[in-house]
Amino acid sequence: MTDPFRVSDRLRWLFVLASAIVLVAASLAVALYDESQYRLRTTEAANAQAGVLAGTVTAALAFGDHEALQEYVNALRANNDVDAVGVFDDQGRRVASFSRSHISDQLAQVRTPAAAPGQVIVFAPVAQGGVRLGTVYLRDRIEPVERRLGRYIAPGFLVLMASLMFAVMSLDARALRLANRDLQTQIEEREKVEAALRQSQKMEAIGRLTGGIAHDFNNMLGIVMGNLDLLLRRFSEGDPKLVRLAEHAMEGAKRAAALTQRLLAFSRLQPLRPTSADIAKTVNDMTDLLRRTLGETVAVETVSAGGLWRAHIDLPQLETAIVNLAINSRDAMPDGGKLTIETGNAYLDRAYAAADEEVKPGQYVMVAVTDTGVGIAAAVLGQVFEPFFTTKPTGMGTGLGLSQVHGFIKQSGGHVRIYSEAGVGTTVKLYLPRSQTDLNRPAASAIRSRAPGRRDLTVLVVEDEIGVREFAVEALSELGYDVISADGAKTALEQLDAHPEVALMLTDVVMPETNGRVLAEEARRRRPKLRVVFMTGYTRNAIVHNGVVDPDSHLVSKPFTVVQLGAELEAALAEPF
Amino acid sequence: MTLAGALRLAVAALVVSGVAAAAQAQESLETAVKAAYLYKFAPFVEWPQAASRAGQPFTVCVVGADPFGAVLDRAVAGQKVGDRPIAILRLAAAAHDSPCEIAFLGGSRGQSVKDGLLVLHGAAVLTVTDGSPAPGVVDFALIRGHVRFRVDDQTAAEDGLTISSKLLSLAVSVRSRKPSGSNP
Repeated sequence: MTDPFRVSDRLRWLFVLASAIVLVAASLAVALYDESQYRLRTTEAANAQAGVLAGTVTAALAFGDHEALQEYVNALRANNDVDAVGVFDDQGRRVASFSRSHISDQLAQVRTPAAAPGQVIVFAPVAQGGVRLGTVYLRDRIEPVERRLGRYIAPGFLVLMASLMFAVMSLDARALRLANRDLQTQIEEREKVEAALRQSQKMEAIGRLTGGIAHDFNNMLGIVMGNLDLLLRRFSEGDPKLVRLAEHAMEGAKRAAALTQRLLAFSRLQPLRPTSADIAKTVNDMTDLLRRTLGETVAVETVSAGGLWRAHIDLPQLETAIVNLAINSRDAMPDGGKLTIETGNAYLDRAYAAADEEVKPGQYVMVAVTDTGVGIAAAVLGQVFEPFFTTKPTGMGTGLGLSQVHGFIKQSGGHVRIYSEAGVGTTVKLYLPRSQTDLNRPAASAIRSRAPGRRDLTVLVVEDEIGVREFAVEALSELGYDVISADGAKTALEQLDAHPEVALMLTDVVMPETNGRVLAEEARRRRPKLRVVFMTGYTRNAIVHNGVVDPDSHLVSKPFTVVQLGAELEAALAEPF
Repeated sequence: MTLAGALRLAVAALVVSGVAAAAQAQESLETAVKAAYLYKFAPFVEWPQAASRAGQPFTVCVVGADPFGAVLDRAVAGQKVGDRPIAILRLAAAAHDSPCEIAFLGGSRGQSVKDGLLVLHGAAVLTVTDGSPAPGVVDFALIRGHVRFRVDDQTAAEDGLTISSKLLSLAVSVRSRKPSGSNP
């Protein structure tokens, strides 16, 4: 891998190394030059000294004043570099000298040995008025290299220590800077995670509130719809005006029910029936519907990757989600454009999952819905999943579309990401959990299509809310069943014991004291062949994890119509034990 | 005379003769040194006529009594002053125009040392005397057994001679030249 930072790092080290080599070479050259200069200077100094001495001793040498000669010579003792000095007369005899080591008596002997490595030997003629009077011999000591180096040790050591200190300090500063940068990054990451957490907490709080309201509202709506349904069935031949009024009321109630479904979807409280689904097929099947929904100005294209995994998802809800996204895209492209739906396999890794605590790393089937619309401003991108948040003009949107998508996908154990750029378009990516079984269970719709009606069976209805219970009893009677009712688990078990002919129990899930699930388990313990159908608009904790119905449970969602109830009962009774 | 007395006499005679011999040897060495010094002064002195006398021998005159004899001739043999060979000229008396660079005044009946100095005064000749009451420019002296000299730089200046300070520094005593108007 060629990381640009690493390359520049390597270059810098190369540069530092090259500089160090150049510096060492330069200092060696300087040292060698210095050494030769030093020898030259010493020789010059010796020559000068010998010359001065030769000039001084002329008269004393000429007139044999040995005392004066010795005085002149002794003056050079003060110079520590001078090893030996000899003054020889015109006959080559030594007449005065001082020596720290040996010196010959005869000039001829002095001349013969060449200078040793640590010495500089010079001769100076003693002459006056053109008359040669004698010779001065001077031997200088050259200070050994190591001793001269020794003198530089102290300042050199100081310079070295100073450089080391500087290096350590700059390394320290660098480490501090790096640590600061790391800390900065950590702070930024933490802030990001905290923001994500806050967002998800907010969504959860909104969801709980919405869900609570929707659930209670749904129950009441169930009573309204049920009774309207009964009214219409029983008086279908009555006054057409009254029938029409009832039908209008029913219409309104259905719309209200659809709204509460979406609210429940957002609050992740709707009952889901995930199956192992072929997403590419679902998307393909939807294209026609989408073309009709989006109109002629929007081109719809589907792209599907090969070898697509199956997803574990509630298909009708997924279809609703895709339609919701498509409608948003259409509204974002008033002048037309292109909608692309892609499917593909995706793997969300740990690093990706770490950014959002609701995301688990693993295999997902991805559905991406992309439009070429106006895009969403970055400032509001974080709010788009909130219920009733909409960018559309008042009356145009409910603000619940994306909420449904978000709640549903999250409830299904998936993940939603939205990318948008103003003026370019928006992509919403849905990550659906991969199905662990590739078996596709028979579609519920096939069972629903069966004709309702059985007269030879007894059904036990368990429901704590009187309105719902009465509607259920009425509906079952309408469908031709014999009905026994109970207002709670305790009564229900008593009734079961008292009436062995009960073949099916229709029970609410959320009830005070004992919930429907526990009741069903107890009832099955006593009557293994008893069939159970749950009624619920609300599945919190009661049925399996995360509000997903047990795969082998039958469930009818409140509010329900007589036909829906009948179909679910048929399905339950049709299952072999 | 006893034998002991004879022996004592003999020893005494020997001692006396030995001392005399030593004295004689001392004297001859002293003379040799003085003879050598005579021409060794040359490099330390500048003569005004040096240029005009180039090519001619450097002349050392011995005026009057000659204490050196052959010693001097031996001493200067082969010696040169610059590139001028040294010649010895023995004169009975000095004249103002005697062709001498250096003149040793031994004195004679005809011309005393003092007279000789007077004759040579202003003649650009380095006059040398040996312990004379009337000293020349250079006057030998025996100091602690060593031959030394005194220098009369004033007279040298009057004679047009320049004596090297090196020589002056070696002199036992110097009669310094006056600060100005040294030349007559």
